[in-house]
Amino acid sequence: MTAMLSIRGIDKRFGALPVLTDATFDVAEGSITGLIGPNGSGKTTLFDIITGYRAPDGGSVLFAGSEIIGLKPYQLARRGLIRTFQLTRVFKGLTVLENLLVCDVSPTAEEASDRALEMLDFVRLTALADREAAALSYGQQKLLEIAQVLMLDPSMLLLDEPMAGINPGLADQIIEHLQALRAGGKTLLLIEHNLSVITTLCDKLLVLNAGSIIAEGRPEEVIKDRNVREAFLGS
Amino acid sequence: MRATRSTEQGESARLPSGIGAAPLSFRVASVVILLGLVIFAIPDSIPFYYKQVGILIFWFASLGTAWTISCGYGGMFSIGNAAFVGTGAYTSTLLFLHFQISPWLGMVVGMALAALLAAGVGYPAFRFGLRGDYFALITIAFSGIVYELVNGASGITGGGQGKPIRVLGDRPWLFQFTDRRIYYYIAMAMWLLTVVVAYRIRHSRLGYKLLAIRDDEPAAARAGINGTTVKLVGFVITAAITAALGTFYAQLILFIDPGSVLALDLSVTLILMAVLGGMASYLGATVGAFILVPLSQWLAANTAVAGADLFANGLILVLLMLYMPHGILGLLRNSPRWRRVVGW
Repeated sequence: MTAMLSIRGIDKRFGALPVLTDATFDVAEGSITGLIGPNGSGKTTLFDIITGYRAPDGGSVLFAGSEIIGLKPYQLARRGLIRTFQLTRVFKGLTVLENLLVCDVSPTAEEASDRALEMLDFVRLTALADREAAALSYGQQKLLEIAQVLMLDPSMLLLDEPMAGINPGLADQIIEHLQALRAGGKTLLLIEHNLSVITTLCDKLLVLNAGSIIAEGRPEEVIKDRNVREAFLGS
Repeated sequence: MRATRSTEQGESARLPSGIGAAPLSFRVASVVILLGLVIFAIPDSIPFYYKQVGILIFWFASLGTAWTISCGYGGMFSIGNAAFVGTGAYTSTLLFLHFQISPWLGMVVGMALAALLAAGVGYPAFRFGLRGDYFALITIAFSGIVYELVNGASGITGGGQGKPIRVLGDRPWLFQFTDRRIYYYIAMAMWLLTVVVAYRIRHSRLGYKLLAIRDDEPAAARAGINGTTVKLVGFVITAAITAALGTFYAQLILFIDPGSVLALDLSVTLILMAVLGGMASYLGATVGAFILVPLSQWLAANTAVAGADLFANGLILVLLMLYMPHGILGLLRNSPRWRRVVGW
């Protein structure tokens, strides 16, 4: 499989504090790759760098074979590299439906509307279409954010803890949907703390500890690794 | 992957917006009020003063609505829009006085010039991420610079003494009318046009993008939205409309000076209209103007205390911030139906 995303030697410091040190890995096209690590290990910072929200101190990021360091988040989004945030960030002053329409890439308003309604059906928010997004619960906002990124029809999706705050029934649905995305050729990289989700979904697992990748491979093998258990599981 | 959408669900998400979403009684009342406003100026017996107040209501409502496009929708808190009023007023007036160019054409030139100025101020500010208080300070500084330039260039602009426009009688092509009612109807038409533009923008992709940027610019970037471009478009539209209103004001008063079309208090007053009515709604500034303009005029004419109207404006602003930060129409925003009506 060819690499959709290649991270090479990424370094990042916040003042004197090293956050990422020589982070290097590949994400294969059409795969789901999990990224785990203890709190503060640099996972979200790595997402920020990949998606253009932060500049690294060194290293390179290749997306579909092209260097993307220096590109702005909106430029990367237009290339099909889309992310979600750890804390949900929907547009609270817009209605639920408008939150999807603003993300639409369809050529006509009619198609945009149809697509938005399909997404609302998928995340079971149709009844709330005309509600201000600020009125939604956190879990509903999480679902809305997932629907938003799907509206953008990305070729690669970076999900920062997509299952956090979502009830088990909906989490199962999201898992099915993510698997369907992979079957459709999309590439996914997700940060997730729930190991059962990781083992169910992921083709490959990366473990980040103190800013460095300390293990990578098949999830069931990686979570048995002694270093990983010490760093992440504390046993 | 995609669930099937029922017709009922589809229709629920495609309910009408704007006045069309309101109950029948409200729509009838709106038409009656609008017709009332149209026929208000018809009797010749209506005193000049009341016609002037009516004109100013529509003028301020238009200024506030134009401001709503960039600030209420896009979150660009400009406190310098008087600079665009002045740009429109001075451009058309000076072109007329020095080159005998019709103020109607001068209005178009003024709009283009204001758009260029807005782009010149907005681009570096948006490009380098200035927002909120910092952008407000930039606009105040910009407005102050324009004021001082006009004030200082007395050979061309008349400086602090201002420039009178020759009274020529009934010359429609030169934007002069002896019948005050014509100005009233022009002001009303400009207001209607501005409200329609604001409404259409609110329900367009540009509107969604402006609101998304206002709510969370980094998240909007994730949706592929170029914040600099979208904000620039919103700011330029506001500037162009505001400049057209500046030309109208110059032709209404037939006199311009920096104090009347470039002063900071004009920028603040037009903001107050939008904030009182609800700055996120295309109707907010109209509601605000219908309350504040008559109140200010009454206070200015009927109280012995100099500046009572300005004091009242300041007091209203403080009370709004404390007790009604979303303005009058903001009270409706929790109702899905009324939210669609007022375009929140």
